[in-house]
Formats: sequence, structure tokens, C-alpha cells
Amino acid sequence: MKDNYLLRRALKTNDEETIEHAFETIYRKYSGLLLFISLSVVKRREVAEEIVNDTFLKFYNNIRKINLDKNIKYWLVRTAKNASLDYLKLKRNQVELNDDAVLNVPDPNKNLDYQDIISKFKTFLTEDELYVVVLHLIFRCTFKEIAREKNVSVNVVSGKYRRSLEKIKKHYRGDMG
Amino acid sequence: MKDFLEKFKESFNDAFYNNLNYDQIKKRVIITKDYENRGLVLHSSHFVTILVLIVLLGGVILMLATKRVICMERGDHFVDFNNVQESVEWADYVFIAKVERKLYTRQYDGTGLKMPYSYYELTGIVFLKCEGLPYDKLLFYGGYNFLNQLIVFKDNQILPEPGEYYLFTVQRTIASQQTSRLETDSYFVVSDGQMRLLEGYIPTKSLEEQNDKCKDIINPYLDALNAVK
Repeated sequence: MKDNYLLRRALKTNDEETIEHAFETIYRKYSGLLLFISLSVVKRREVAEEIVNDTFLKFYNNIRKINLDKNIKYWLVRTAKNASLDYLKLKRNQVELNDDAVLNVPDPNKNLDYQDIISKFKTFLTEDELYVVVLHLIFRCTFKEIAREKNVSVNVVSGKYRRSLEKIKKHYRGDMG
Repeated sequence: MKDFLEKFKESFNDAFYNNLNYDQIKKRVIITKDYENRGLVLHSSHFVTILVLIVLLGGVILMLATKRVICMERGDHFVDFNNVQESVEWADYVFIAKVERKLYTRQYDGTGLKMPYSYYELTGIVFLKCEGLPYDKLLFYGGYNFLNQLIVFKDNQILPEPGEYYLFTVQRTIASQQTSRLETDSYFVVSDGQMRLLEGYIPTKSLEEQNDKCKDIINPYLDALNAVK
């Protein structure tokens, strides 16, 4: 709710520079998280980047209409994820409608960006485990937030995280040892 | 931080890089001034309220200024108070008295005439017809209401002036007329013919010694009184 306070205060000043500064702070804080979430869905970096920027633009350009009493982080994550899923749906439809569909089927080799990340950890973590660990450890999301985002219980998330830590520990200890 | 977690973080940061920058969208961000507009709306609504209040206030002031005196028709009266003879015959009391001060005003309360009743204290009463106490109470039909408007009868627009002497041709209010506002046994005035201002009247002098102006007023009454006798 610190973000909400920051934004509300900035908006109240009506000073363009102050608002811009607040926007930039929010952007810096959440762009990585949104990029990772979007990337996990669309797999392609340039598409994910575009979705993240569009999400922020949507947020900033409608800031006066958005209820700032609610969680900004959740709003951004939901919007970015929905936009990513919409992109996938659109892409699938385009493929189905296209006569020359065969030529436009996404080449799995083009999803290198996300695959690069996954491949680095796939020897000891599943994609789902990596997702939970990254969100909690790197982007400081709470188990509750992750559970909400993944539509599972908090216990499921915390259990998965605990097991993942064991795997990471084992992997790196072995590495170090 | 535990080593293995540090290692994991390092590995992740190597694989995942975030080259997004706010400057990429900066030019497309539209900073709206809704709050300012809302402020303006609020200001304008305040402005309208203030304007309405000013107009209302102005209206009231204008109403008070333009209708400062409200004259009421006094139904036909069988006495012509400008006719001295008639007036003297009607009056139970004819006297000269000083209006000492205004006592109070009884506002219209649904009883009697739809106008304020003003009460004055009379002193130094010199009776020309009938006798009574040298001081008494005078009821003047009319006066100022709550809005400071003067409500009077058309032929009785000038209120008694404290400190001045007048020649009165009056009757007393009687018990049957009594209401919450009308006090019995008060001399009452409904027409300016009942109350003649005696300018320069000197109470220590006899009637014959008063100035000509006063005598011009008093003498016809004396003559009429003599005629009645």
C-alpha cells in the first residue's frame, strides 16, 4: 500500500514532475516482475516487453479512474497476465484463420528467451517451481500474492517453495562441494 | 543470505535481464489534470453557491430597501380626525403630553390587526378633556417588524417621537378588546389626526404663553371643547 500512498500523494500535487517521478518509481519496481510473468506466458522477450509497456501505459493513462485503494501490484500483474493470454489467443486464431498457417506456426526455437532461463535450471527445478521461487525470492512476492496469481492455496505455494529450496540447496551444495 | 540462494540469484540474473526503461514509454504517458479539474468543479460549485447567496441576500436587501414602509388600509372609520369638532366629540380624553420613550413593540402573533403594536410612555400629561394620571401608556397601531419594515396605517405613518410634545385626542382600550398584544387601559392612536405635534411646546408655560404655532393647533381644540360643554 506504500505504492498507493506514493501515487496518491503525487497525484494530489498536480505537479507533472512529481507525478512523473512516482510513475518512474513504480515502473522500476515492477517492470521486472511483469516482464517475467509475461515472458512465462508468451515466451518471447520482445512481445513480453511490449505487453509490459502497454500495461504500464494503460495504468498511467487511466490512473484517475483506477481505484488506488486497491493493490497496484495485483492490478499490474493481472493486467499484464491477461494481456499476455490475450496475445496468445489472438496468435492462435490468426494461425487457424490463415490459409498459409503452416508457414506461420510459431517456431519453438524462437522462444529462446524464456527457454534460456528455464534451461538453466531445468536440471533441478520444474518450470512451475522456478516460477514460484523467482516470484518469491527475486521479486519479493508473498506466498499469498503468488497463490492468488496462480489461483491455488497458500499452502500449495509455500510447500512448493520449500521443496524447491531443498532442490536448489542440494544442487548448489553439490556444485560447491 | 545463504550461499546457495546467492548462487541461485546470480544464475537467474545472468539468464534474465530486464532492459525495460521508463523512458521507453515516457512520451506516451499522458498526465491528466483531473484532480485540478475536480478542484475547479468544486470551486465553480462554491462560486455558484456564493453567487446564489449573494443574489438572495441582495434580493432581501432590495426588498427591505424598496418596501421599507408597508401601509395598510384602515377600514372606514366613522370619525374624521382631521375635523377637530368631530374628533373632540369622539375622544374620551384630550390632553397634551410628552412622549417620554418607546417601551416595546408587540409583533403580530395572529391576534388583532396584522401589524406590530408599539407602546410608548407618556409623561407630563395636561388634560383638556377628562382627567387621569399625569403619566400613562400609549398604544400606537403600527411599528417595525422583524425585518425592520415599518408597517402602519395609510393615514398614520409617523411614529411618535420620544422627547416631543403632542396634543392627543384619544380613547382607552377596553377589556373586551384585550388580546395577548393589546393591553387594556392604554390610550390608543390609529390616525395621525389624533396626535398633533406641538413644536417648541414649553411645559412650564401656560397654554396662552405657548408659541403661535402651538397655539394655532391647541386653540381650535379648546374652542371645540368649549362648544361641547
